[in-house]
Amino acid sequence: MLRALAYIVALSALPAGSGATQEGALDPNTIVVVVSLKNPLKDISRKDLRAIFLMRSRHWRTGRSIVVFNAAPKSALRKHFDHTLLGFSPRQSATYWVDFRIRGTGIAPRSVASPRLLRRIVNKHVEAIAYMRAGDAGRGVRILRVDGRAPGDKHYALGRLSQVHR
Amino acid sequence: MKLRTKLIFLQVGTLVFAIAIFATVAMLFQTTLTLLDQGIEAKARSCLRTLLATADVPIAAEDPGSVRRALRVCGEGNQDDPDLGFIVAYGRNGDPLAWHGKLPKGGIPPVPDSKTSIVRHGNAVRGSGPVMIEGQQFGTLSLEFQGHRIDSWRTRFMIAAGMLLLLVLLASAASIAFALHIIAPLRKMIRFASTVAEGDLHSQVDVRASDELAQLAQGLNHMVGQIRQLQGQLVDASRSAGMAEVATGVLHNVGNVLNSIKTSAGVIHKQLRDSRLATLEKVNALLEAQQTDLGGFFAKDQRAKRLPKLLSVLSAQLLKEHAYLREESVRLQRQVDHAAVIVKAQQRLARPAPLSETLNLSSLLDAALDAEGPWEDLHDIKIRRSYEDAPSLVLDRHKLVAIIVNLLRNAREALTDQEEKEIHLAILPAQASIAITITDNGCGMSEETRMHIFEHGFTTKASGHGFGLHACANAVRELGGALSATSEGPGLGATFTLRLPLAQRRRRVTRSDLGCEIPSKETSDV
Repeated sequence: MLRALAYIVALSALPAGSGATQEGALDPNTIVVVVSLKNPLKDISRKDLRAIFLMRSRHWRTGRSIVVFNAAPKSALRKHFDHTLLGFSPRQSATYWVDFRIRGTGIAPRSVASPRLLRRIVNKHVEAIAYMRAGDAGRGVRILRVDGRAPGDKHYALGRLSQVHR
Repeated sequence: MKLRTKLIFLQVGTLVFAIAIFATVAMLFQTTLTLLDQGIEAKARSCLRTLLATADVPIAAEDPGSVRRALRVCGEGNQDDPDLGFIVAYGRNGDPLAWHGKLPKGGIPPVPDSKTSIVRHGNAVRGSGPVMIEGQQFGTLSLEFQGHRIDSWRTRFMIAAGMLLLLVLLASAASIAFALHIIAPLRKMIRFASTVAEGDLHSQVDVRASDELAQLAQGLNHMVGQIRQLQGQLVDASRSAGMAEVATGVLHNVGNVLNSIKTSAGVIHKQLRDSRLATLEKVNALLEAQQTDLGGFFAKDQRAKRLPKLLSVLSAQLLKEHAYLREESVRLQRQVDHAAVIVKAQQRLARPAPLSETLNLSSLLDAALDAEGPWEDLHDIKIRRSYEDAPSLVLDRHKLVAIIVNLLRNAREALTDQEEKEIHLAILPAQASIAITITDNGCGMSEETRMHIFEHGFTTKASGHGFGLHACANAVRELGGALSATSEGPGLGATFTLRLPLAQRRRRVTRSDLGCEIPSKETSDV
């Protein structure tokens, strides 16, 4: 019941031009990338998105540092995102981040299990970027287009959370 | 080392040991407190590190509820730890998001610096650190752990330590008091033993207790009572022996006088037997026979012509005999008088008397001289007296007479081989004592002899037993006095000095009381 209510609130919070409601209701299991409303970014390429979530790209074009937030490591959302965007299995993902740390390049993005906290973080901090289910995204965050395609569009890069991953 | 000193050493040792243990415990406790203090710092550091790792997301989300839960989780993890003061989470702009615990009196403290630090504020440990995610600060955490509990423990320990120290001191004081309580009766008994050793058998030791020490004191009192009885018997025996000794001397002297009397009587008898009185009787018979013709007899008889010359010679002879007999009778009378004086002196010396009586020393010396005399006639010894005025003394008469008689005999025997024999008696009163000196010009003595003169069994006489002067010395000591001997050397005479205290103290008489000198090399005191 609460989840349905949140979904309705999320849909109503989608900004105009987000493309989420142009062809009807957005599937709440669609994976969306969100940033703060203060962040001027509205569209991002799959390549840039991959670079950001592999911590290879560290700054926004404004010069501000990018703070990446991941979903919980063993969650279905994380597995789907790693597989779809990064092409990593959970094992490869773990190996990558361990290697990333060992080489001194940096540390893995902070994992946040709570979608609500994640949404608040993204809402509060302009440098934050995260991904979540469309059903968990709310009014306070901006859902980015990927390669010009809004979530729910055909050939949207991040797809939707499958039943398997759930 | 005295028992008291030993016990005090024991007590002090125990006290030092207790203080050492106490100091060790205090050091251990202080070390424990230091470790606990360091533990508080470690707890603060650990809690801060945990919160920075776990509460970063809620803080970054600036969600007070989540932050409070995160803080509470950490706080509840230390719920049983009363050292936790407070934890405050600040947002990115420095506004407090949530807190846990008891805030300080000033309310929420201002946001600390953005670097991780653990600092001490008095007895508290305050920690703070920035909440960082991927190098970006999303907030700040501040917490405080209090050291009140350690302070409380320290205070309790100090109180307990103080009480313990007080107890140890009280226990030591009680122990010392107990030791002194034991020692005091012992010291009483030691003093009592010294008093008894000095000759006072009338004192008693008073130990008011019902323990073994009191039993010991009662035993000592009983023992001294027994000794007192025995001493009384000994005194009686000694007095009898002294009187017997004096009597023996007197009898000896009387015997000598009787010998003189016998000699005089023999001389008188011989003189009378050989007297020319018979010739006078013949003259008388001749004249009675010629009574009828007395004129014819004187005119014609040749015997009448020799008769005047005979009568003249006879008269001279009889006068001579008369003078001789008169002289001998005077001598005899004097010998008889001497015997009477000796007997009288013996009666005076031996008369029943109390143990102590008031004595005139000059009279007593003269009586002793008489008892041993006549000195010039009997022993050919000249007696010289130098009696100064001296107060009367309260003493045991028989004992003092026995001493003086013994010393006089000793002087007389020392003069045996001397041509000029003289004994000088002197009474020299001093401030606290009276000295009686008996000086002879006899054989004297060497230093070695003088050192041992009063020892039992020591004698220089062929027929001596070494008891007389030893007994004298003991008797003098019983009178509370001192006896010493001096001599310039062999052949130079000797002086025996008898010092008697003016205030006769039967109990605890000391030499200082008597005004006597400490024995020097020249004197031998007893």
